Amino acid sequence: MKIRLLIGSLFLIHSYSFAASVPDSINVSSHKSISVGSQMLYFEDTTNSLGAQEVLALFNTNNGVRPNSPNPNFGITNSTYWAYIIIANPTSNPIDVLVHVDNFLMDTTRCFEIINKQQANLLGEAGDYLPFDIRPISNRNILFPIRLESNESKALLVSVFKDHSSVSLPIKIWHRDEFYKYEQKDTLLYGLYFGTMLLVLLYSLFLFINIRKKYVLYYFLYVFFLSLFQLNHLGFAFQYIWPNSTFLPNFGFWAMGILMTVFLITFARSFTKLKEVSALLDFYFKVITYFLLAFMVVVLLSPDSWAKYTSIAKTLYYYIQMTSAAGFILMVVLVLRKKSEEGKFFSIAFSALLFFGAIYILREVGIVPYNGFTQNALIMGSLIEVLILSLGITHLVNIAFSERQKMAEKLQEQQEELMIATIETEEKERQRISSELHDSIGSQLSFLKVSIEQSEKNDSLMKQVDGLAETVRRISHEMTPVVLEMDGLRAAIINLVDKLNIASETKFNLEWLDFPDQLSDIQSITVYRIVQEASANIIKHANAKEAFFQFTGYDNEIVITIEDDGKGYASISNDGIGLKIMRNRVGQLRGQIDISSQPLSGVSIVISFPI
Amino acid sequence: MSDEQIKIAVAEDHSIVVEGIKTILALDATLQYVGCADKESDLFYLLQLNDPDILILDLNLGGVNGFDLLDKIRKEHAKIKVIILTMYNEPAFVRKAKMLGASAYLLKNYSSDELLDVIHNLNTEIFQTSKGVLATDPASDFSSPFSVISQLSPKEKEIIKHVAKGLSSKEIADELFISIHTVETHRRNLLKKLKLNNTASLVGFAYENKIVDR
Repeated sequence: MKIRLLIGSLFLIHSYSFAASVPDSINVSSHKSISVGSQMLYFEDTTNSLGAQEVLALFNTNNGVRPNSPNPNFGITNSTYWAYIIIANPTSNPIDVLVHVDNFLMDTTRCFEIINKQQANLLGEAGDYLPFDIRPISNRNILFPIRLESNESKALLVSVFKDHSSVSLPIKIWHRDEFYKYEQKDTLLYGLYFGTMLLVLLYSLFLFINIRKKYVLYYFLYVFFLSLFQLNHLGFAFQYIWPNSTFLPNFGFWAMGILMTVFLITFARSFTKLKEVSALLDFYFKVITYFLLAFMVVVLLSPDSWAKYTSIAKTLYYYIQMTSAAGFILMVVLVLRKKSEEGKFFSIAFSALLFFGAIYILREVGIVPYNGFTQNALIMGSLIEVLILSLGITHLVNIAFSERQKMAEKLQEQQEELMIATIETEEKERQRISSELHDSIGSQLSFLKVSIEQSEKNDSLMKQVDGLAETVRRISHEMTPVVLEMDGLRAAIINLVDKLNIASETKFNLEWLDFPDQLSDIQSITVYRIVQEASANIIKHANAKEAFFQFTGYDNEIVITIEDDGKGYASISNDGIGLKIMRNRVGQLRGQIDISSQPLSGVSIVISFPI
Repeated sequence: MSDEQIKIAVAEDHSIVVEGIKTILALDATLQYVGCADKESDLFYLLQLNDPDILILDLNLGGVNGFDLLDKIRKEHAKIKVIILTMYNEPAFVRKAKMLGASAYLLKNYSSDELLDVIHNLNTEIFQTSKGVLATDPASDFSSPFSVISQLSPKEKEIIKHVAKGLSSKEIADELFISIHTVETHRRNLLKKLKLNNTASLVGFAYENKIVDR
């Protein structure tokens, strides 16, 4: 009441009026819908206790009021409003009409037919405090069907009541078929709206699964509750989802409105990094969030006390919503000043939402009239907002994706560098140990041999020294390929194959095809080590007559093929570690290695890597 | 000191090895040790000053590439005969030493007899190696000049046969239990090796060279 007085004194629309006992007769022959508006008489029952018969008596004694607006809006009120209407069919054909109370959020609506100005007979009732099933026409809109025979006229009483809410009397008369045509268009529009919301939901869910940014999740939840809120608000939920609940449509209005607002705030805080923009405003929104949640919990836990204090609660709720709207306006200004990309999207989206939201709230409190535009204000506002925010999120996600990719590339680069550094260190260390073996121990052994020769002529001792020297040399060579170091990869491979041919039963063949001479140190050592590993496998396990090494160079890659005619599988499966090392080494150079074999037909290895 | 004596210098950075050589040379009165150098600059000074007949050269003198040294010595002091004394038993090095004009290649586990033998036989033009040196011709048997077919590896021959039968890479891969990548790589190598441009010419090659029967 307080609010109504406050608003009414600011901007009163429905005020001056004059009394009459009978409303204008409305000609329903036209195919267009007719807004009853000022052609009716209305009566406000502040006691909410009068029956139709009593109200009819009051109308008959000149207590009816003629509204001055085609869509009278009484603002927030707790009264029952009664409309007195006369409809006439002057044609010679019967007409089926629908009396349409164009506000499906009414708690209760009833329609009576007045017989002989004396008798009010109930035709039907509808509203979201009544189960859906009792409606005379199963539709989310509140509709009462009436048949007018040729030259017949009927007097009707329509009552509407909505607990502590904005109430208007947008009564329309339709030809039945015309209404369904209109509704089809309407349904198409809402279909598009909810279809878009569904797409946005799926899209944001997909984004969230992929990039795990919190603001995307908040956004998803916001759009989810926004859609539920709208489904409920537009009567679809009542018609299709919970037709027999009178609690959910009403409680849902608050709960979904609150959850929607809470997630919108949380999303906005996260998306615009509000804490960095203004810690104070961030705190302000946090407080509002807790208020809203506490409010919802109270309503949920004690519906009884909620019903008792409905008026206070609703007023409080509207105040909190308005407070958050004010916060949003401030937020848009502050975020815009930061000139960030996400700020731009956010500001445009919220300006749209605030603009349409303001229209909606102004209609709710009775300042602007009830019509198609104001009725769909939230739909339009939220649609524009959601689409722009989706663009904004896509933009941010794009940035996040490309950053993540850059990071991954950088990481890969670092890993490669590390790998190369590791190999280099390893090789250096091998080199150090190997030259130590070579120079110090080798030299001393050679002197030892000369000494033994000179002093003792002990053949067995000399042989032992020889063997020792040979072992040292072999280890040293295996550790670091001296030919590779001094003469490059090709010489080292040839040398390796020469030695294999001298030392083993297998005949190793070697072929070069445009193989480049200039490979990096790391590539050379890797190729050498792979060939060393492969040939060791052949000698140890393959029992092959012949082996074939081919080194081929192409514009951007080198290819090495290694074949033998040995035992096949046995020779590779026996040496898992050697193969693993080979694969590792090829992987380090981003190369590819294919090893294939059949029993008794040798092993074939193909290695390629980019240069 | 007699003129008949053979003057021998040593280039070696391990004194213990030098000691060993000196001990052996001392056994033979016809040999005269004239000095040793452990780095490149000293070496050329030594050669200039003492004009030795023989230089015993380590392939790893203070980190200098011994082959570069050998090359330089052979160019600047052509009449000095060089004996390579090294730990490295690498066929590639043996060949390279021979190519650059060394007279002998000894491993450091030589015996004193071996060293003396080599020294006394340096007059001949024969390139001498000590026992156990891995001397061989470079591995190149694979590319025989007489037949292109003999250049093909067994896997390549198998693949060319299947290509000639009209099989695709995928089919060949299944047939031979190898990956498609392996087949493709071999096919690419084949074209390069045989200097052919496409599959058709590869098939033609297979028939011409009787890799498959007509």
